[in-house]
Formats: sequence, C-alpha cells, structure tokens
Amino acid sequence: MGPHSLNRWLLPRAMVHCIVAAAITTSASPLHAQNVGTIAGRIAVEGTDQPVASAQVFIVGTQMGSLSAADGRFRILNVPVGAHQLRAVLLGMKPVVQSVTVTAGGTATVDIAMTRAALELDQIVVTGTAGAARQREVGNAISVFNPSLKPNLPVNMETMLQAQAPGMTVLQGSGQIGGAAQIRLRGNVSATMSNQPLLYIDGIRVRSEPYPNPSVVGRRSNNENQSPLNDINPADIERIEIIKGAAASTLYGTEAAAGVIQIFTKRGSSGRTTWEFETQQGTQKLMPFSPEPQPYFYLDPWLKNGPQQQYNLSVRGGADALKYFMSGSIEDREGVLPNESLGRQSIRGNFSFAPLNGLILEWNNFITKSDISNVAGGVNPSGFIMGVMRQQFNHLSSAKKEDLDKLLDQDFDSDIDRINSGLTATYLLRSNWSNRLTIGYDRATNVLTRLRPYAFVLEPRGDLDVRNFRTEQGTVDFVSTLDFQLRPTLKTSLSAGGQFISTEEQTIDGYALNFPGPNNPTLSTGSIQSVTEDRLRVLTGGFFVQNLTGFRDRYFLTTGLRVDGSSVFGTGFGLQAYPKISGSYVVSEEGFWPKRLGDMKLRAALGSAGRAPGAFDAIRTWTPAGFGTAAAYLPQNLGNPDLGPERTVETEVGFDWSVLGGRVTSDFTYYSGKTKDALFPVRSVPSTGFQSSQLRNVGEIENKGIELQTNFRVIESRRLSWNVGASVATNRSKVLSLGEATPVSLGNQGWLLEGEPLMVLRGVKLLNPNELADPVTKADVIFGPNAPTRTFGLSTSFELPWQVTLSARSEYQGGHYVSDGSSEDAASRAITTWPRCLAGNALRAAGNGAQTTARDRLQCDSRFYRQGSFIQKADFFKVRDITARAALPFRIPGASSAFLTVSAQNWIRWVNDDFDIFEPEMMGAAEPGVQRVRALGIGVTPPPATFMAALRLVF
Amino acid sequence: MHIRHLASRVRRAPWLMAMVAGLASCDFDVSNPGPVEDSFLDVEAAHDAVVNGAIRAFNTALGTDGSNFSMCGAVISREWFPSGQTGSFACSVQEFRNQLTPDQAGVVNRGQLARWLAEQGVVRIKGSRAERFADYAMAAPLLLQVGYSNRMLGEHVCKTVIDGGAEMPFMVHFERAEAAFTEALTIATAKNNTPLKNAALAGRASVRTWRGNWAGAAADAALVPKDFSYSTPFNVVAMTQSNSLAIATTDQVRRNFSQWSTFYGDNFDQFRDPRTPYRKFPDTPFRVGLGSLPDLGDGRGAIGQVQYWQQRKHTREDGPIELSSGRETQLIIAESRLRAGDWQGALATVNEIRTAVGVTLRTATTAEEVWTWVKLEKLIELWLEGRALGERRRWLGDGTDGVTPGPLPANLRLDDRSGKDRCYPISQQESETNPNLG
Repeated sequence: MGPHSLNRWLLPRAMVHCIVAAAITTSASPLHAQNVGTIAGRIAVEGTDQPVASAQVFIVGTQMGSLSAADGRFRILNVPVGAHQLRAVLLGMKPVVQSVTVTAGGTATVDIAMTRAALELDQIVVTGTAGAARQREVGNAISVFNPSLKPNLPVNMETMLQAQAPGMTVLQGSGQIGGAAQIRLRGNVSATMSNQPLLYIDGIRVRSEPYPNPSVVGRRSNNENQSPLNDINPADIERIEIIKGAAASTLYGTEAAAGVIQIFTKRGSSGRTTWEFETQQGTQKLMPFSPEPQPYFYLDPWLKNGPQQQYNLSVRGGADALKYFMSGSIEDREGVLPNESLGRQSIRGNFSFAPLNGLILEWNNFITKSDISNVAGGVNPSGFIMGVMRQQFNHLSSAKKEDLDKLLDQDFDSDIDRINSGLTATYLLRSNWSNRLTIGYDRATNVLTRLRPYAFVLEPRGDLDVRNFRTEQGTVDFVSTLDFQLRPTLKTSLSAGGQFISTEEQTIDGYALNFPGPNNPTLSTGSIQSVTEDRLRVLTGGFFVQNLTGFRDRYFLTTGLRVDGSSVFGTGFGLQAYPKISGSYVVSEEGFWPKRLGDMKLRAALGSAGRAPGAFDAIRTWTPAGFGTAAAYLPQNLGNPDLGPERTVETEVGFDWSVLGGRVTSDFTYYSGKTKDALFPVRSVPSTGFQSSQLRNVGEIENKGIELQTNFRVIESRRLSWNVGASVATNRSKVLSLGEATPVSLGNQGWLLEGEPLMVLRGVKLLNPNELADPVTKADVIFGPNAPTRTFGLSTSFELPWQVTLSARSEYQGGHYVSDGSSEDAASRAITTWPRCLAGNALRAAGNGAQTTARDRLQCDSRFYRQGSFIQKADFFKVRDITARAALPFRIPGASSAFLTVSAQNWIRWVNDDFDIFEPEMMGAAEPGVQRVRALGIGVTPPPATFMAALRLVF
Repeated sequence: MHIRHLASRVRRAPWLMAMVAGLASCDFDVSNPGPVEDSFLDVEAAHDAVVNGAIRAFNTALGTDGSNFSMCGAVISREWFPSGQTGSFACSVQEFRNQLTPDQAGVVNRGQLARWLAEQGVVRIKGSRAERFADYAMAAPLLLQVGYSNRMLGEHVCKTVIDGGAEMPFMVHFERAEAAFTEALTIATAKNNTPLKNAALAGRASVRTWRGNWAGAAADAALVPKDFSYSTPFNVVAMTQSNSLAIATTDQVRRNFSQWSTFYGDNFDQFRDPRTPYRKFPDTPFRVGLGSLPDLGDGRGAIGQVQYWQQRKHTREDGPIELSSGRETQLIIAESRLRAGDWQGALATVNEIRTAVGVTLRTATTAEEVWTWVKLEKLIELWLEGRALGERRRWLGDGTDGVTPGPLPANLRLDDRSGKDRCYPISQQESETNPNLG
C-alpha cells in the first residue's frame, strides 16, 4: 500500500472514531424523570403541506430545543412540566411563537405553520456590521441564503454559489477536475491586485486565493489551481452572507474592496440528537465543444463519463451547556479524461459551550484531505490534451492513438491537507454590553508533483517537479458593543474593536532530472537536482469604531471608521483610515404608508475599503537568482516608498420591498464606486535596469451598476406552490485616468486604457467576415471589457403533493469578450487540422480557396494570420441545474425522513454564434487571481455537465 | 441617558484613545527572506554576485530562454531555418519574416539589462572599493562584460539610448565597448592574466572593425594566439541558464530550427566542414515541432512542414557560446589585408584556417572572389554565436554586402528579401516610457 492510499485509509478511520465518540456522547441522554414530558410536532409552510426542514425549535427562556427534520418533524425531550412558549425560527421564514403545555410523562403535540418571510427585516446578519445587526438596521445590500432551502446538489462550494446573488459571477475554469473558478462581486475593481473576494468561515479569515500552480517556463505542467473554497463540504453549510463593494465592506479595511463572502457552518442544538446520512452518486459528461465532424476535438477515443460519489454523515444535538455538530464526508470523483480523479475526506466538529452565565464559547474545526490527479494539459510540450488537439503537428508528429497514449504516462498530483480552527467567545458583561473575541487559524499545505518517468516518450531520462506550498493565516478579532436605550424610541449601539491578520506562505520547489533507470523516483533520484524556496509574511491590523442609532425602530443611521496598518505599505505611508456612513428607513412602518404597497425598506450607504499591494512591492529589491552554482543578483523590483493600498469609495442606494402579502419580494441596489489611488503598473525605462513595472497609486477607476432581484410566489396552496425568481445585474467599469502609467498590456489582449473599461480587450477586427475575399482588418480596435457587464438569473420551483419539489436555476452572462488564445496559437503555427479549419482547408487543397470566407482565411490560412485577431463575444446562457426532490414513498426503518433528489447541472447551454469552438467559461490553467484577463487557454477542455442523484436519510 | 451624556462619555473614553495609540505603535515591520534590498549590494562580499548577475543577464540576451540574439538573429541571418515553433521558446512569426518592429524588440531590453548591470556594477564596485577596484579579482571579467554586452547591442540595434537618455547612434555601444576592453586589458595585463588579456584584445579588435580602425583592429588581433577561445558559460541548473540553441534543437521535443535550405547545411554536405555539423533525421523526415511553418513573406507562401536537419554545434544545454577566438581575429587580419588591397594575403589567411580545420582550400583570382571567401569563412566561424547578423549589417553598411563585392550564395542573400530589416529598433517599451525620446 503506497503512502497515498495509506492516508486515504487512515482518515476515514479517524473520522469513524470521531463519529463513534459522538454517538457515545449523544446516547448518554438523561433518563426521563417524573416531572418532565415531551414536545413533538411538525412544521409546515402555512397553507401548504410542505415540511419546513432545519428550523430551530426551542423553548423560550431556556436552551432546550431541537431541529426539524427533512419531513418537518421535531421532538424535544425532558421538558419540565408546565406551560411553555415554543419558538420556531429559520432563515427565510417568519419566526413563530406558540404556546404548549407539557404534562408529566406525556407528549404534547404541536403543529406549527410558518410563513415565508417577505423582507426578513429582523433577520440577524453579522457580515459587514460591527456586531450582530438586524437586517432592518443595515444600510447596504447584503445577500443571505440558506442552502438547505434549495434542493439542488452542488458538486462543490463554487457551484453552490453560482447564480445565487445578483452581482456575483462564478465562472468555472476548465474541464479538468478540481480547477478553481473565478469569483467576482460587482466585477473587477482592481487592475493589478486580486479581485477574488475575501473569504471568512465562522468569523475567521481563510485563504480565498486559489492554491498556486507550479507553472514554470520550461517545466510547465497542468496541476490545476485548486480552490480553498472547495475544501469545505457544502453539506456543512448553514447559511452564507455576501456583501459586495466598498460601501458594505468598510469594516474589513485594507483588503476588502472586492467584497466579502462569509460562510456559517451548521451548529449543534439542544434536544433530540439528529443523525443525517446522505449519499450522492452521479456522473460528469463533456458536452460538444467543437464543430462537426470533430465535436469533441479529436478527444473521443479517450472520453468517458466521470463517475461521482460522495457520502456525508453528520450528527447534531447537545444539551443546554454543550451543543455539537459533527460531520464526515468522503468524496470520490473521476473526470471525463483519463488520469483525472479527486478523492477528498473531511471531518468537522463544531461545539458550543456555555460554561458561565452570559459566556458562550464556540469552537469550530475542520480538517480535509484531498488527493487530486490531473491529465497532462495546459501549455505543455508533453501535454496530452494539447498533443491530441494538435494532431500530427504535436511534438510526437503523430495523431495515432497508440502514440498519443504515451503522453498519458505521466503524473500530475496535488495533495492538499487543510486544517481550520476557530474559537469565538461571546461574553455579555452586562445586559447591554456584549463582547466577542475570535481567534482563528487556517493552514493548508499543497504538495504538487509532476512526474515524467524514466523512458517517457518525450523525456527519455525522466524528470520530477515537486512543489511544497504552505499557507497559514491567523486571525484575532475583537468587538465590544454597548447598547443604550436613550429614550423609549431612541436606541444606540456603540461598537469598537480590532482585527489582526497574519498571513504566511512558503513555497519549496524541487526539480530533478535524469533518472538512472525505471523506478519510482524522488527528487534525490535525479542526477541533476535543483531547489528554490520563497517565503513571505504579511501583517495587517486595524481597529474600528461604529455607532448605530435607531429611532422608532425604523430610522437607522450608522457611522463607522476603520484604521489600518500593514507591513506591505511603503515606509513613507502611514495608517489608512476608511470611513463609512449608512442609513436605512423602514418606510412601510410609517402611518402614511398604504398597506397595499406592502413592506419597504429604503437604504443608502457610503463607505470605503482598500486593496493592499504585495509583500515586496514597496521595496527596491534584487533577486538572488544564482548563476550555475554561484550566487548572482538580478534586479527585481524598483520599489516605491510611498506605496499604499488602493482605496475605493463607493455609494450605494436601494430598497427592499414586498407586496401582495409577501408573495412578491424585490430588492434593488444602484452602486457607484471610484478608486482614486488605483495601483497601476507604471512601466520602467528598460535602459535604466529595472525593467519590470512598478506599482504606483496613480490610477483612477470608476465602477457602477445596478442589482435587482425579484421573487414571485405565483401559486401557493395546500397542494401546489409555484415560485419564480429573476435577477438582473449590470456592471460598467471605466479607467478614468492612467495617471503616470502608459497604456499597459495585461496579457491575453487585455489592456489598461484611459476612458475604456477596466481590462478592455484590444486587437484586430475583421471588417468583412462573411465575404468570399481576403480579410480586411483594422488593428487596435477596442472590443470591450473582459468581465461580464450584464447578468440575468432566472429560477423557478414547484412544490407538489407528496413532498415533491421541482426546481431550475439558470443564468446569462454577457457584454464581455475573450480572446481564443488556443485557436490563435494554432493559427500562428499553421495547424491545418484545427476543426474549424477543416472545411476551408479542403477547399484550398482542391484549388477552391476563393470559395472560403474572409473569416476562414484569417483564422485558418497562415498567409493572413494576424496576432490579436481571435477576440470574440463571450455571452452565454446556462441552465445551472434542474432538480427534482421527493420523499420516498415507503418508510425506512429508524429514519424519520428519507428524500431522493436528482439534479442535472449545466446540461443546457447557449453561446454566441461567434463561438463555434470551445466555450466562454473555459479558461487556461493559470491562477485565477493572477490571470486577470480571462482567455480561452491552450490544452484544456470546457467544464463538463453533471448529473447527480442523492438519497438523504434523517434519523 | 441623554445623547450629550453619551457623547461626553465617548469623548472621554480612554479605551478608544488607547486603541488609536496602540495601533499607531504597532510594529508592522516584516523582514521577509528572499529578495535582497538594494543597499546590501554595496557590501564587498556581495560583489561577486553582482558580477555574476551581469554575466547571467548577458547570457539571457545572447542565448537562453526565449527570444534572444543568437537564436532569433540566426533566423534573420539565415543561419538556420525556422521549422514551426513560434511564440514562447522560439522566435515570433514577425522575426521569421524579418519584421523587426519595436514591439518585437523585447530582446533589446534584455541586451540593455545586460549592459546596465555590467556598467552599473562597475560604478557600484568602484564606489565601494575606490582605488582598490583594480585589485578586485572580478574587475577585469566585469569590464569584459561591459565590453561584450555593448558589442552585442551595437551589432543588433539600429539606434539606441543609454540609461534613459536621448536617442543615439548605435555606434555609441562600440565606443563604450572599446573603452571597457581597454580598461580590462590594463588590469589583466597588470595582473598578468593572459586569458583575460587576450579576451580584451580580441574583443577590442572586433569593435574596432566597426569603428573603422582597421590598423588598430589588426594590431590587437595580431597579439591574440590563433588557438585562443573565450566563451560565456551556460549550465543546466535551470533552463533559464541553459544554452537555448541546444534546447531548441534537441532530438525530441523542440526541433524548432532546421539546417534545411541553409548555406551551412550545404557547406557541411560539400566539405564535411566540422564547424557547421548537422544531421538529418531519417525516421522523421519532416520537422515535428508545433504546427507547420506559416507564410514567411518571402514569396513562397506557407511552407508547411520542414525537414528537420539538426545542427550539431550546440549539442549540450550547458555548452558555451564563444565570444572571441583566435580564428575570428585571424579573419579580422584577413579583412584588414583585403581592405588594404592585399587580397593574396587575405586568401592565405583564410586557407591557413581551412588547413587547420581540414577542409578544401579556397582559390581565387580576384579581390572580389576573396571577399566572398573571407565573408563565408567568417560566417562559418561565427555560426550560431549571435554574430552573423551584425557582421552582415557591417558589410552592408560599407557597401560590401549584397551582390558585389564578394557575392554570397543564394541561400545567404538577405537581399532576396530586400526591404527587410537587419537591426532591431528601439523597443516599444523604451519609446513609451523614456521621456527623452520624442
């Protein structure tokens, strides 16, 4: 048994031990006493028979309670005899309080009807606020969703987020397994820094950037950039809060201009212990992505349906003083090409203690281990995908299957170990003074290996690349809130706190080649070896104060200030202050508001946030590059002592509205942001030595748009509910000023140009595409932005008798352009077998070249090849999922509920007519954080479609 | 509680003030390992690494990792033929077509970096060591780097700039090179270091040919032993330090360039000249790089697949590239004699070299014929060393390239593609960032 398989074996055993321990703990429940009874019942949506799952049901004034199961049933044991108030709460539903009387040894039956919350004004949110706040008090838009209310079966966290919030785009990467998606909130806000939102899990900061890829020129590989987000098991998620833009994320300070996603995992609940088991089985399939007669781009002989399976087991329960949620998960997935697999095991333990009156400790932990293998793809001379796509023009000079099979004889493995732990202490010093301290630690190691073994067809001596990447983030976060009831109608909350984030990264990259013979090599096996190491540490800290004043519980004004320091700021740069002000007004609670107009909250916010430069950007540095075995220095970074973060100031206004008794809900936001100190790469004068660009705070960027989300419960009756949702989001960016920077190429035909969208694509435009003539082209034409400027989402769900739910979710993204780098590369090399060129080449070979269009000649006839002429519209529409869920028609012994779910994801697709090859979501195997300008990469396939079925049992 | 009471309380809140003071006093200084701050390079212990950095940068411009003068210059000067691979680790289609536009002049930036590192290295080390500079063991090698990096630029650029200054003629590089070679010669002579002394003499002789000082060039050349060789070393620690001429023409993966359709291939076929060795691949008669060769704009249309004839001069990825040699200086003497009207003497020098090499001797009855033999002999000697493009431009500049005097074989005639460029312009990045350029 090899080391990898040993680890695969040990971790599930550890998980089993953990769950067995939990079982022992939970089975030790108190015996019935003579003065206690039981409360049992079922929760359903009012006016329907639809069960409400995962609702917290608890006895007011105690910590006794339970969670409703998937069939809506709940049971609370050992309830003292007497009259009680029973309260049921669930995100998305209006809280319900109901009276119940318990008799000694008896069971009181309670049926609870919950209605869907229209505006959820009293829902508690914590992201972007100093402490917990009710939605009615928040002046900015905040998207909150509860995955358990949605029946779909996300393969991972990124697919769970797709089409869930207006203004959030989640673009998949490639068809290779495990590749990270690109997540954007309100488009790109920075030209040079990462636009990936900050990520928090249960209050602690975790890595949001994809794990790096060891792409080294000359040693290129295709270890996909794995996503840290996907280390989290979607089944563990309780709810997700998303804040977009600087006006909302001010309190997160220097790193938060791209927005914040905060994930809350499930917690324990007192009362009956609930076990949940879920198995998911399914398959992935690559959809056609190339013109006939090669719809799969010559990959057909190797394509397969990739089996998918996942098993989740969780338990939650507890008593007043200790509550727990524990879960374990095993995933086993295969890709659509050979050598593509993912094995992941994870365990989670969330514990809540109440050791003292007023003190609650919450300790959340998860550990995951992922073993991922990829086929040789990407820009790689030995690459399998590139080799197949280029047919006889590859490095083997062969299109024969038996020759191309030899390119599969190489390994690309990623082993990711992740541990995450956070402790939050919430202490109520007085009834009006709460304090919360969070300490968190997030650590991941990713060992990436690329092996071309001895006797490999294109490297007979063999070589091995091993990259050991480690990242650690520590969080210390404190907030103290004092509430004052100044007058009966006037209330204020003063909060102050601080946050300290420490980030460390280390990369050790080893390379060896020339093995002595066929063995299982290590780096030590190679006769030539080399190693490099990089380390960096970044410290960022800040404090904030915020005051929230509420009048008559419908007028709210929030003012706040965050002040930050960071080790990445230049020596001439001091602390950074980020102020904010926001207000909300529940206008529908005014006497003058006609009831027929429903509930409405108006809101407005003005705030700022930053994006810090890199660890070395401010300092003039030299690289100890080495020269053979000797030391050598080469210029690295010119340095800029005045370097600071870019600051985005944003205004947003909007409203939340519900009418027709809550059947129609809508929220709308208009935002406009300006980044005045945008970090732009100011190019150096090459003849003065330091040739790389230096970041300077010289640019000015504008970003504006709207977000609208509407939900309409068309039919709601006991036997049938029909719900329709729609969302619209736009995003327009513009580079207002380049400052001292000159027009900068960002790669992949993307440019920073004054007066144009951020990362605009510029290239060669074909003026006569359909004429039977030589191409007429125009150079330096502005096509448009690389990021989508408009997205539309459409969703619908039906709730039918017998607890059957049907749902569908789709989205359109458009207004943007991408460069087809793969086809351009092929054209520059006159690869005549490119599928889109087959017809034209046949005509040319027959002497009928005059019958080919200008487009065909430009793209397929090397005499007309023009660099930068492969830019095309990237609009697309996809049905993200179609899902059906139903309760099993028979009873499983011991199970309180059993549901079967089937879900088809990304099976229906529409792309722009220009897209005759590949598809817009396909991206090169480069770090999404680094590859700011998306392009269709070389040697990758589009993301596949997925079909999943799941059985979920609750005991 | 009234609002003013609250406000008063907040104003007096000592914890708020303490928080501000606390953050302001926070130490956010982080000393990250890895990159080295500039001031450290002034320390004498760091000087060897400064010199090595200059050599490495020179190698990068001359012959490693991507577009470089020896690899892509060889395409333009027809020392080898492109066989398909474009883009990374090769040369651009534009370079294949001899379209040396500013956006294709990134290699010039590499050359400028090599020059700047060597020249600034001298300034930095002189600043630290003052009068002890000449005692420094790496002083002469660093000055040689100044000389050779300026020669490399001078041979390849049309116009130039120095350290962000105004546009200057390319000849300024030869001026700077000669000054550096002279200073290196002084130091090497004082230290009695014969190899470095000969390298300085050979380098100075080569740049004096550009400056029209044929007497001075011949005088320097005469002092260089005929078997002398001075090379820049490559290694296989990383591909970025390896000889790209070897990598680009490996047996397996690359096969980027072929000797098919070149004078050098013909020379080997005709004379079995060991200076231009190549071999055909019988099992793979056509090149097997990435794709087929696009239209080179030379009237032949898309060439398609090219037979892979593998050069065998640079067969090791850690093999050196020669910068100066005794044979090159002998050919400087030959050209000097030819220019002085002594074509018989020039022919004798050529044949002396060919005798040493073991190939058939040349015969001639006119100076024009000898011009051809001298040029061909020099192109053979400098084959795949990043020099041919410059030499041919020099001959073009003084009217000795082209059809007469000394016509070259058809497969060496750059005039077949008349109007095409023979030197790199100032780079686009330099033009767009240098405020002293109009």
